[in-house]
Amino acid sequence: MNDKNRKLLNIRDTIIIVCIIAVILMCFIIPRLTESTLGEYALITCGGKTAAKLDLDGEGIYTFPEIKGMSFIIDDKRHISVYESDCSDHTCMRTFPISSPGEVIICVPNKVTVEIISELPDENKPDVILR
Amino acid sequence: MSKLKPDSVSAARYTAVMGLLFAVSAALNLIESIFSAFLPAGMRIGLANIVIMAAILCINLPSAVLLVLLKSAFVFLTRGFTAGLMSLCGGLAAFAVTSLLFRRTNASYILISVLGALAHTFGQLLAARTVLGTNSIFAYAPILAVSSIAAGICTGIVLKAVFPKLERVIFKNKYS
Repeated sequence: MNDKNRKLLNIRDTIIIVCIIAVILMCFIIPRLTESTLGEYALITCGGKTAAKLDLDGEGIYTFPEIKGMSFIIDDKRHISVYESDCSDHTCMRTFPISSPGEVIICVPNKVTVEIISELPDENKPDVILR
Repeated sequence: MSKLKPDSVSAARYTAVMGLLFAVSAALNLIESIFSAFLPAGMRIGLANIVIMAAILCINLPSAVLLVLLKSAFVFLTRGFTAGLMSLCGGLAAFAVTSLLFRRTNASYILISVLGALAHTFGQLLAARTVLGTNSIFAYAPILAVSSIAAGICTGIVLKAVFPKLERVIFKNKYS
């Protein structure tokens, strides 16, 4: 194929791109938008191991000895987000606060994940250190 | 079409062209970092992919792979191991898809660019999954896929506009 004759976009390729967008919307985004269940707690893992389970009703700033250089904040609307991070690009700090089951915040350099879980944890008291 | 190859031009000319493309790639990567500071969830525009696609079109596949490796090394030096690994995996995935589509199909620039951007995103997600050891990272897939499509459309338009001019620059005075 001569690249000089290659088109910027044709009808066939437009249809393919629209189909890809439709599949993404149908499979992932619309189910997420229609989901109304509230998350009960945030599961925080570091290096694949559970570091803490935070009750979303516990408003405040949290740090954990297992996770160095990071702190988390739960606001009055039961949203959790990364408050501070010593990672290089601070992508985790720019991620929007999360509150619905399945939503996650990830810090790849620190190997930390925060995931909202809808079920109540086995122990009612979160294993946290309040600062 | 003719391609710029190390054996068809002087080594100095080839080195100069590769150095120029790498410099553009590094500059675009830095510009991209500035834009990405305002985007959530690790979204990146994928501007540097334009250079890799231009190398596939104007030079040859080994040179494009070399540029991917150099770009990843640059990211490793400036942003650390994790970012370097993600850049490498994303870059190689995007290279595989775009080179296959450019060589084997008559797909349009925008479709190739969109599929390359999607491959780049999923290559990065796989690298991040390896680092983290959890599948939670794939929760980012929908939003990153949508941003990849938008970025792919932009880079496809830019590539179509830039390709003829870039080819003229690379092959200018080739036989003089």
